[in-house]
Amino acid sequence: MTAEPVVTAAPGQEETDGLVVWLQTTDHKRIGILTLGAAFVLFLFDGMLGLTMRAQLARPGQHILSAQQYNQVFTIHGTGMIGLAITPFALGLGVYLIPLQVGAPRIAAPRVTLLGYWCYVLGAVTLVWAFLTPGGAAAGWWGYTPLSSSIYSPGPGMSLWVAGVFLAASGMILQGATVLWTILRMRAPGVTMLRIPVFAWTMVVTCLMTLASFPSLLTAMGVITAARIDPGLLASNAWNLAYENLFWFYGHPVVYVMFFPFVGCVAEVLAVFSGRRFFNYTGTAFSLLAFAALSMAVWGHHLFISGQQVNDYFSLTSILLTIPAGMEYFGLLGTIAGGRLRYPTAMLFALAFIPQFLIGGLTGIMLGTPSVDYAVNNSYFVVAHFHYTLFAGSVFGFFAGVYFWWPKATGFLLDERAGRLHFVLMVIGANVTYLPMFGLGIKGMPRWVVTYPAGAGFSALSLISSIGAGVIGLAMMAFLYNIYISARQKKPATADPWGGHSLEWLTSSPPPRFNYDAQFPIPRIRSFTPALDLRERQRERQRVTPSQRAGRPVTDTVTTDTRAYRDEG
Amino acid sequence: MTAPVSAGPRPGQDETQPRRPAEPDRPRATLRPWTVVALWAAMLGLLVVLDAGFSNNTVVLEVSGSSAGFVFLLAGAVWLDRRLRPDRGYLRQPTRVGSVVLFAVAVTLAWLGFTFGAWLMMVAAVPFIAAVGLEAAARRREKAARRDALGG
Repeated sequence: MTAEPVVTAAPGQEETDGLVVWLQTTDHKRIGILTLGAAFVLFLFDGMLGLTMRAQLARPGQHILSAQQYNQVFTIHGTGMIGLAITPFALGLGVYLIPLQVGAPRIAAPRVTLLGYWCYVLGAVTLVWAFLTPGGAAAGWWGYTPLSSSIYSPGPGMSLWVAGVFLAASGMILQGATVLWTILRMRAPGVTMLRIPVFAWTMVVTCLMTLASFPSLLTAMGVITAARIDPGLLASNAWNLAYENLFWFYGHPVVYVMFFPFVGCVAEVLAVFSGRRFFNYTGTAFSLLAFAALSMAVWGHHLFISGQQVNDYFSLTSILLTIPAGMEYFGLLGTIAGGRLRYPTAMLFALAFIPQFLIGGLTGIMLGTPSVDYAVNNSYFVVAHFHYTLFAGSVFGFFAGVYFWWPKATGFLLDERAGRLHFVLMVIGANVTYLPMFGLGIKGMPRWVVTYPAGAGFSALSLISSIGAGVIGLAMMAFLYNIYISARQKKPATADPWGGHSLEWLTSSPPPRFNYDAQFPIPRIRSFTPALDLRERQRERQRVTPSQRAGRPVTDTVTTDTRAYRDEG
Repeated sequence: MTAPVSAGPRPGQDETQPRRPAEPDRPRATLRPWTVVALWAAMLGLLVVLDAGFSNNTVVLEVSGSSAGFVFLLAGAVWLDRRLRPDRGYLRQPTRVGSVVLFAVAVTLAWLGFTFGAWLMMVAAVPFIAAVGLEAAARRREKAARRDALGG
């Protein structure tokens, strides 16, 4: 572990406010907020594209979008949600929270983190440009070759898509690397690897997966670029196969990059609002490592029907995932079992995550079985499965984290009534939208169709699904309304409004420039719940009479390490 | 482990400033960071071996094998960094870094050159050179500030 000697903050070097200063900041908290803010704007944009698709499919034979426009919309919806919204949510949370949780004054290589943010933003701009260009990118979020070559996808749209994906993925790699290095090399004294919070463990595996799998996407984008320059390259089928493997070597692990951090959010929220330490902490940490390793070895199940893979191997690894996943659920349920539960909005989102993600996970195991996959491949069953995983699971976990850490980041609380309205609409919207899709898939409705005939038997379930999507739209409006009224009311948050467990709850809300200072020092770390330990010791001391106290050593003295650091312009 | 503290006050450091205390309460069983990464790399390696046993195609083995190898290298880098830089010195916290933004713009323009022509790659040279200039100037200022602080 790295131990940093104390250096002082040079007076007058604190960053001031202002857009230009924010956009050039090296403060991990600001970079985290910028990343999350940009991702949320893109989440709303891509969500609106999703609503447009549901409007198109609400009734049979509609023509809101042409077939080409529909292809463009689902391409950017998929690419945007995965590459520009949920992955940045995951890594942005890490950028913001990890230095606070491990007691570091800053993130490792802050300029690299900032470069990651800018690559991501410029990639996002390029991707949206790819969508707005006439004849824009329309080859799906996977951009299979030879469809994405300049022969079948002429014009600049596809090239811009490739550039955007490359830049956004590069940004995420850079941010993932600095978050990982912060955990591995910048922990405060006493914060051993087995004393970092569960969220930090989920970020360890997330960043490892990012570093191990995202370069494969960059290589795949290189293949498309080469193929667009020289389409003859794809005359050999070897390149097409190589592209499929390279793409899915990123394409499946990214699902877990978009999942693990939100399990971490849910774990933190459940523990705090159950009033208990996270159950089976060490087991969960090791099972996360196993879970992440296995999830790097299942991507071939996306290619079952291609006949190019050994299905036995990928089926085995896919089904083996149930073991570490079961361990995670064991930890989550063991934490709330017997706890004294409180139900603020963050807890409601965390509780809803458990059954909803389970639906996504279990249907994933079904799809990991080739015989089932052959039957429902490329049908709405698959669409339902991954939306339960990513929306009803990960996005719910994200909102649990947002409601939980919002007061820490902003210094004011979100409104609980509006939060509950947001939650109720989200639960209704998610389940009404995605549950009927399982039925549509079983009935045989294929993905990627712009419309369907009236007599196909898809009309009723499609309409229900589209109504549900509208409810999700209302839920997002409720969340925006919540931010608006909360920002107007500015109900101040204390340093620890929830009775948190991890280190970040011991500093101010919002935290000072270098996270901890003389006013908010880092206590002695004895476990993965330092804030809870401190409260318990204080309660214990209050119970002990003064005469008893005189004879016992005081063990909860906080360090006077001010952890103020010097700016070096 | 005792937290390493280098001898003497550093530039800008107040001597009365409390020092980082010795690391408290280290548990008997510890998990070193490089071990975590190496353990994960070993798991990936094991899966590659298992995969080879199923006679999967070579592309699959190459992709997953190179990924496992990369993670092993990462574990080595963590181990080496700990060995070579147990005390990383005082923290450098750069503040305003326009060079980073310009560098990102240069990379974007250069990549877009594939789409819109090589002229865009030449345009990318402008923000790139500006970024290098800003970076060099910032480093010069940083050196001068450190020299002044030591001299003072």
